[in-house]
Amino acid sequence: MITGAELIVGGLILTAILVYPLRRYLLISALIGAIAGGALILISTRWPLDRVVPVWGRVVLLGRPLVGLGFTWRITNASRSLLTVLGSIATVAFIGAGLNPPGRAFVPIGLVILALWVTAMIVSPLAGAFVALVAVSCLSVFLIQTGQRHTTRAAFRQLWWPLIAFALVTIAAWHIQEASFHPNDLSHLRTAAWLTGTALLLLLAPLPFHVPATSLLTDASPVVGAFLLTGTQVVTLYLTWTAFAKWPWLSQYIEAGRALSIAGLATLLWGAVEAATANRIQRLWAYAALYDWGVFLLGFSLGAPLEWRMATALFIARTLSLFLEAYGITILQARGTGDDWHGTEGILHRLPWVTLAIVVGGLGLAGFPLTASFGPRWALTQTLLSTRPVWGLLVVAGQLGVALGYLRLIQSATAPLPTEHRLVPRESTLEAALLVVGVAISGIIALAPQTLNGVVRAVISIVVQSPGRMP
Amino acid sequence: MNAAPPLLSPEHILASLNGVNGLPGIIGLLLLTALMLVITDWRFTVLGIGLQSVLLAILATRHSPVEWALLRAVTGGLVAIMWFLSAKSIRWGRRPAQWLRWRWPLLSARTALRATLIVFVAVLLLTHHARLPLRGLDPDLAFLCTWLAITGLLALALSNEILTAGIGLLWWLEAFHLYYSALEHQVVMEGVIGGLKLLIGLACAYLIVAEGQISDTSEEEPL
Repeated sequence: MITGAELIVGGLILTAILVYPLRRYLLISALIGAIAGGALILISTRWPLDRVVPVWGRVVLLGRPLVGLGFTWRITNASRSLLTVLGSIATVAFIGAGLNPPGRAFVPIGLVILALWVTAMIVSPLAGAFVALVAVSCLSVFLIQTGQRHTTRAAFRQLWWPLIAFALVTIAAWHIQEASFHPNDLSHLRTAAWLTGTALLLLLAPLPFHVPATSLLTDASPVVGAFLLTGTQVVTLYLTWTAFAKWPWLSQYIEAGRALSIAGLATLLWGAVEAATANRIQRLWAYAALYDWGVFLLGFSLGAPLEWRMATALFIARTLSLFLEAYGITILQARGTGDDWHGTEGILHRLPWVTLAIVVGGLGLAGFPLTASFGPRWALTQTLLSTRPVWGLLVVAGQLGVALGYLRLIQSATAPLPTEHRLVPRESTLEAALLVVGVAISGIIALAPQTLNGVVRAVISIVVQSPGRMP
Repeated sequence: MNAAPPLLSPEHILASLNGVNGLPGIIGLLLLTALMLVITDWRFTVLGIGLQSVLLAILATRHSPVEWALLRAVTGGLVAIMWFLSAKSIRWGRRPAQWLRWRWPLLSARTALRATLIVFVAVLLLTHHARLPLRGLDPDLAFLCTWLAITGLLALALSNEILTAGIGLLWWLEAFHLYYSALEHQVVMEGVIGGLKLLIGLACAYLIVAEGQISDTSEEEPL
């Protein structure tokens, strides 16, 4: 009998091995990658956990644990919906890779990274998840650097936090084990709580730990950046939830809600200031995403039961906006125009859909009306204004900072077309269609935020069933 | 006929190196780390990684089986070889004379800053070493662990080159490895940590080559 872990992790790695020889045929490998991502979505949403499913003469039991080397791999209800999110992120990223390939090895390495993310979500004990995250960071070095000819900064910085977090969590696990042998000695639990809290804080990467994330979006290929950032953040959020669910005493020693809200406020303000003064599109995008992450952490830190509903809606809208802008910037980069304000001068006249996607994606990260983030952001701002007015005002002020950055971009894009940009090729039909679909989805979510309710309810139902909660 | 003398077992080798497994080894490692951070010459760095892994392996035998310590030295040696090959591939043949020539590093503002920070950390640790919160570890190893972790973070903060910043990651992992092997003896974790060291070493070796190619490209580009 095949276990769920063998099927998904093994299947993804096998696909990566099969795709590797086809890496020269970029469209084919991108298509296979997207199909693999789609299969992950299908399996995690449709297949039952507790009943066998026949596949090619063998039977698969998705919920059956796989045990070996002191670790247990098991797909649970809690991890299932987030596997769907990971599958969606991978599918969108691999489709984006077809627009302007970020390197030949993107799909095979991306599939292995996807397998490692899945591993991080289904493995126990928790140290195994951190090992998977360190492996992801090492592989992402190759992913980022392939096709990157300017700097190694972004690739190297990805190694920092997962490695440090792994060490901290492994030592914390020892303290937790010791605490069970010496129940009267509370110092073990206190040390374990501080080590785990620090490790999770590093991975959540608020200010001042944001540098690897902003480098990733600023320097790497946009699709690679969006793929690695959103995937890692999904896994980190899941690990945060798992840690607090598994060890409820963590909240006795760490004021996670307070720490996250302060970190979120500092992050959003820094992101807004940097976005307002950015002089390149990718830098503007990176800091708009940082602002959005700060707002997300603030929403996440709100008291139960609001936090998960808010966080899920904010994260879905964030992912959509990030990828929409990543697609736009990718197509723009494929045209060979620079990504500073001079390079974007007059691009609206040649690349109207690209400009629209970049602006809608960016303003979505800012939480503007008629964009995907508006609904959850409006709810968050209202909640904040009624409970903590200063925080609410700071969120709005930050929003204006990010919007100012995008106004500068619009000003440059709508300027008269300079001579050197007259020969810039227009978007192809496929590119334009993809961007229009993205903008339309963003608009639909903005006008009818209740379309997200199904996804949000699925996540909430898992969280509500769990014994532990964030404080 | 005389029987052939028995091959040296790891225990015999360890017994002959017993003098290093104490204060001389600790002082040697502290000096080596400090010099690697201050000098930032790639030849010295690569040699230092190899030497450091041997010294750490000797010290690790206090808490780990000799075979594990040996594996530790082999892992460190492999990382040193990978980095050497990467560094060689971007320099060797291009400027052989420069490669062979030894130049004492110039005393720049950056070197002075590094030296000052190292002295500051050393003084801070010496005055607070009694309060280091590392349970289950000998005091001298606790001091060394903290030193390696702090200098690892310093190397990450101070360097903008992969070779000199990458040692920061290795030192952090070595500090963790030294401490963890005193806490628990798990074969799987030993393998995992060794594997992670190799992975980090490999990723950095790749980035060293990539960095060399980038600087070569920028040198070739017309001004």
